[in-house]
Amino acid sequence: MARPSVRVFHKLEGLFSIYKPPGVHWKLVRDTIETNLLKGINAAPPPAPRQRVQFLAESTSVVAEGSNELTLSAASVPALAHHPLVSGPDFQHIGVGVGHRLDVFSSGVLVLGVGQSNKALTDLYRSHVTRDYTLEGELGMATDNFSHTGRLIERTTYDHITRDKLERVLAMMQGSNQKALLTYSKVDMSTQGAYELAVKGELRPDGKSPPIMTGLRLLHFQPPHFTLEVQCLNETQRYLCRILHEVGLELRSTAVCKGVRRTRDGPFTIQHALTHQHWTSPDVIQAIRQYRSSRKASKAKHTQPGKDTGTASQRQEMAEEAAVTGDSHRLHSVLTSKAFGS
Amino acid sequence: MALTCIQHCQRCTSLLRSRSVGITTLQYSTDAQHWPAALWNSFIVPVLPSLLQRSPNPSQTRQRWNLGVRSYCESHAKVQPSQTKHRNTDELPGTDMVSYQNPVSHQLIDGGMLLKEWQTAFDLDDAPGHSALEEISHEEAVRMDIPAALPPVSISLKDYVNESETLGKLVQLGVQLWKLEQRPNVGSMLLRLDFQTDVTPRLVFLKQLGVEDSRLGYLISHNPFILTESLENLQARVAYLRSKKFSAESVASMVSRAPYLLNFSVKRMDNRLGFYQQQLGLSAQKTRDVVARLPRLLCGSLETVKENLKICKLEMGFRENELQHIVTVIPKVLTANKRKLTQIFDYIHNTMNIPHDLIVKFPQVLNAKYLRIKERHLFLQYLDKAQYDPAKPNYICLDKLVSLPDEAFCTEVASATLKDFELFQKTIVAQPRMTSFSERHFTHNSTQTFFRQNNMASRAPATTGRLLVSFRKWYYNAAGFNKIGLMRDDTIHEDSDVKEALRRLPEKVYNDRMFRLKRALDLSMKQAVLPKEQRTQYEEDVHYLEPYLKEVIRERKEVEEWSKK
Repeated sequence: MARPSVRVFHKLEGLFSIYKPPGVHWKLVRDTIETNLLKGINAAPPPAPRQRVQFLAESTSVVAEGSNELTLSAASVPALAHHPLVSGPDFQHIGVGVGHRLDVFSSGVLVLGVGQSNKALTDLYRSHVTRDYTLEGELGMATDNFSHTGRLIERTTYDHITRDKLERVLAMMQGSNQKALLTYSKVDMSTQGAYELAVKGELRPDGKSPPIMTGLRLLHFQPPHFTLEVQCLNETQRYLCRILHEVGLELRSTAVCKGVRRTRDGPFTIQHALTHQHWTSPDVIQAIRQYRSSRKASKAKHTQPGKDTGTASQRQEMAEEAAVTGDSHRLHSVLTSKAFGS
Repeated sequence: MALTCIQHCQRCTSLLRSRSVGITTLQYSTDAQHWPAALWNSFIVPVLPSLLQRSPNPSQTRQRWNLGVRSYCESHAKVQPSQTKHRNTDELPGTDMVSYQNPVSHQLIDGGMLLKEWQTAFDLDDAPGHSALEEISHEEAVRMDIPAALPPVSISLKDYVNESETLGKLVQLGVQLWKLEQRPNVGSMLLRLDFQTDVTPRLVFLKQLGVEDSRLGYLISHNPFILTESLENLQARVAYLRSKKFSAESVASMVSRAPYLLNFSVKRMDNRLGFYQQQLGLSAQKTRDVVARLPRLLCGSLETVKENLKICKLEMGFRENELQHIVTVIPKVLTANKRKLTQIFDYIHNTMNIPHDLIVKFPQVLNAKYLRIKERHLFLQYLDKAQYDPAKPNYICLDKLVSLPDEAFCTEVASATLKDFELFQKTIVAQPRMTSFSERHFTHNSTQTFFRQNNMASRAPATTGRLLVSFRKWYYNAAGFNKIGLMRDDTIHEDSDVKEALRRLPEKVYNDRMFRLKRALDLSMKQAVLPKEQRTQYEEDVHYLEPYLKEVIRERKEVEEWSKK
C-alpha cells in the first residue's frame, strides 16, 4: 500500500558512483544530486484526494412539517488537510551519503549512497578498499601546495631526467611502500599462506595504517609532463600531490601535480560513473541496478566451483574476489581461519 | 462544559450550513424562530453564532493560554455569560455569514498585543444561563455534532484548512500553503483574512490587470502580502506604470513574473527606472524593454546592479556602447552572481582567447554555465576544432557552443558521438587558474612562461663554420686533459658556485666524474696516458656541469639583487 513516491524512493536506495568534475566541492555535488533525486521522487503522481463524510441536518422545509423525525444526509466533503499543496511534497529531505571524499582540485569517481545503503557505504570503506588514481605531473616547478594552482616557490631544470631514472625512483618508492604494507598487515611472513597472499598482491593492512601505495607505474613520460598510475589505500589527494613532489625531489629536480583523477574506488570503476548530465533519478536507478547485478554475478561466480575442490582453493578464490573488490573483511576471515592457526 | 460543547455545535452547524447550503445568518435566524418556544428557556438559543464569535471575549482565553508568537487562536471556547449573549441578540443585523476566521482574526494573539483592545470582563457573579444537567429534546441531542476541537496553537495550517474558507479557496487557486506556513507570521495573516472582503477584490483586480488564472497561485505563493496591500496603492502603482507607457500586456506579464512588484511604492519604482535609464544611457523605449524582460530589476537592491556594472566596465573592460548592447540582449547580466560572471569571462577571454567584440556579439555566453563552456571547449580543443575566429576557416559560433543541447552540439559542432563526449568528460582534470584582468585596462599578467633549458646535447655555438670546428678540435686535443680521460667540466676550478653545482648533479653523473678524476690521478701518478682509443674525443665531451652551474650563478645573482633592495 505504499505511495508511488515511497516506491520510487525504495528503488533509489542503493550505492552508485558519479564522476565529480574538477573545481567543485563534493558537498555541492551531493546537494545537487539530492535535489535531483527529490525532484524525481516527488514527481510521482499524488494519491487520490481524500474525502470525509459530514452528516447534515435536512433542510428547513422538511422540519417545518412538524414531524419529529430527524433526517440527516451524508455529504462527501474533500479533506484538504492532506492535499499536497497543504502538507507539502512527500519527501523534503533524503539522506544521501558520500563515500571517500574528493577535494576541490581532484576529479573522478565518487561513490554515493541513498537511505539505508549508507550503512553499506560505511562497511565498504572500513574494509581497506584500494583506489586507483591517475596523477599528471609536471617537472621543473615547486609550489607551496604541491599542485599547479599554488604559489610558485622554485623552478629547476629537468633535462637530466630520463625515463629510466624516473622508473628507478618509482621502483624505490614502491619498495618502501611494500615494506610498510607488510609491517601493517601484521602477517607472519614466515608462513606459506602469507607468502602466497603477498605474491598475489592480496595483503592488506590490519586496522589503522598510514597511506600505502600498493602499485605505482609510469604511464606516460614526455618531459616536462609525465603521468603516473597509483593504486593506494588510506590516502588523501593532497598526499598524492606530495608523492609527486617527492618524486621530483628524488630526481634532483622538482615536480608539481597538475591533476588527480580517481579511476576506481573499490568495486566502482570510472566506466559506470555518471557524468553530470545523468545525475537524475532514472539514471541513478539504472546505475544502482547495474551495480547490484554485477555484484550478484561476481558472487555467483565464486560460490559456484567451491563444491568439490578443497577448502584451500575455495579460500583462495574468496581471497581473490575479495582482493578485486578490496574487501578486507573476507581477507581477514581467510587469514585468521583455522588452517593458519592450527 | 456543556455550554462550551453546545457552542461548538452551533458553530459547526452554522459552518456546515454555510458551506453546503450557503445560507446566510438571516436565514439561520429564521430557523431559530421556528424552534419551539419551550426550548428557548432551557436551551441556549442558537443565536447567530457568527455574532457570538464576533463578540470579543478573549480575556478568558488570554488568561488561560500562553501568549505565544504565532499562535493560531481558536475562536473563543469559553463560557459566555448569557447576558452578553442576549445583548448580542439585540444587535442582530442582517450580516452575511462571515467566515469562520473572523473571530480568530479579532482574537489573534500576537505577543499579547491584542489583549489590550478588548476589555470585556468576565463577570464571575453572573449566574450561568443554564445547567449542564438540564434535559434537552431528542432532536437537539441528535443535532449536536461536536466537531473536532481546533488546536489553539499550531505550527501548520493543516489543522485549520478544513474549516477555513480563505485557506480552502487558496488551495483551489494553487497556492502552496506548505511553503507559506514556514515563513514567519504569514500563516496567521492568511487565517486572519476574510475571503469575501479581503481576498476577492484583489484577485479581481489582478484578473482585470490581465494576470492569468494559472499564475495567480504562483503569485500568491511567492508574495502573500499582495493580499494585505491596500487596493488604492495597487491601483496607483499600476497607473504609474501605465503612465510610463508600459503596455497593459507588459504590465500584466511583469506582475506575474515579479510577484513583489506591486508591493513597492511608486517613488521606489520611479527611482529605479531613472537609475537604469541614466546609468545605462538607454532610450526610454529600450529601458522599458529591459525592465519588461526582467521585472526583477525594479524589485531588488540597486547595489548589486551597481557592482555588476562596475565589474563590466573596469574589470572586463567593456565600453559604454558594448555594455548597452549586452544589457539589452541579456538583462540578467545586471543581477548575475559577481563571482560566476568573472569566472566565465576569465575563462572565455583568457583561456579561450575570445576578444571583446566577439563576446559582445554573442552575450549569451556570459549567461551560460561555466562547467558547460569549459567541457565543450576542452572537447573541441582535444579534437583540434577549437577555432572561434570568424575570419579563419572552420569557425565555431559561440552561440552554438553554448546554447545547443548536448546531442545537437556533439553531432553538429564537434562531429562526434555523445558517448565520446561523455568519455572525454571523464578525463578532464583541473585547469590552471588564470588572471581575470582584461588586456584593455591592465597589462596582461603573464601566464607561466616556462624557462626553457638548452638541450645539453645541442651545444651549438652561434656560428658553426667548418674552420671553426676544426680549430676547436685542435685546441681540445692540444689542451691535453683528454689524454688522461677527463672531460672539460672535470677540470673546472672548484669555487663555491661550482661546489653547489656539483652538489646538484645526479648520482650517476657524479659517480662518473669521480671515477674519471680517480683514474686521471692514478695516471698522473704513474706518469702515463691513456691509449688513443680510450681518450675522450671532442664529440664525446659533454658539458654536464654547465646547466647546473648556470642555474647556480643565476640564483646567486638573484639573491644579491634582492638583498640590495
